[in-house]
Amino acid sequence: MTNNRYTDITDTALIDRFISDGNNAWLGILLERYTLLLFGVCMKYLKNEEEAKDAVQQIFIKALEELGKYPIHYPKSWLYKVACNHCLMKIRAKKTMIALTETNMEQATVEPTDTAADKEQNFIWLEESLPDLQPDQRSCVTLFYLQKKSYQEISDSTGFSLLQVKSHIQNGKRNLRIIIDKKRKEA
Amino acid sequence: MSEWKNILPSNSLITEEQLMQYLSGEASEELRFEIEKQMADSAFLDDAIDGLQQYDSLAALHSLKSQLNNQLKKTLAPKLKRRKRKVFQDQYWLIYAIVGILLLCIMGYLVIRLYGNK
Repeated sequence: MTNNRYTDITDTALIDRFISDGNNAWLGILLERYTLLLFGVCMKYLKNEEEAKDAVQQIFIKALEELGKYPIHYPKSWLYKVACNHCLMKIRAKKTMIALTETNMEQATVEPTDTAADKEQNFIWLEESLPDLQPDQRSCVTLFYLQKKSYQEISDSTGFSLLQVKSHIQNGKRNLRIIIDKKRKEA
Repeated sequence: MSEWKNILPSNSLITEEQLMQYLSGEASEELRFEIEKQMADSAFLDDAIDGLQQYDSLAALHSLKSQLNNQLKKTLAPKLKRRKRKVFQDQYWLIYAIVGILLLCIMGYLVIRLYGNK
């Protein structure tokens, strides 16, 4: 997420600037980038606007205290983790039984920068590996990545719920990565 | 085969305006695909959009965001003031020290002149 302020400065560069001059304004710019996303996460889990607003403020305070204390390589993932933990704590405190779906943490790492030939080989492996996926994952991955269908369209055409569609796509992609890694090692 | 490039993670950042377009259902096919592709890669974005989709009004979301950012600015402000005050306090000590040294020099000069004349 970006807004118009200082878009040319990366999140980690903002933290570096804070560490070098001690000016909290850099952290302010960083946190403002994620206000809406953090609020969305808190709304998803807490399901109450006032509690979500309060949670975002608490997350901001924690971030202002913690950022810069130790190296944080992926501030976006770190903020997400803080938000999830805060919401979980709130939910536990309320003794509300809400099952948080198992979330795959932010894949902050960028895929290895393969050469064009490597990429082409990966695409061949992807094509070959697709039949190895479970049928539900295979159909969702095909409809999403190859036919560029929306979650809603896939849900309508397959009868899966939106949550199931997302889950099949995420798990399918993860399984494809595992299969390809295996093939890469064997090659 | 090249259609598989869609499965590669995207490095483009979604702007707030684009997110609002997606939430209001006004995103183009291309933008909708890009956002949903990033949702598949990012639990953060996925969870956030799930939460934000509970709102029908984008104006309400804008207002909430402004409130939270204003609160953040207030949280940051006292710390800045404290920093400024601390800087001033340090400068006062410096001024006191300089004045003290100058006074000592003047007194020393006067004493030397007084005894020198005698």
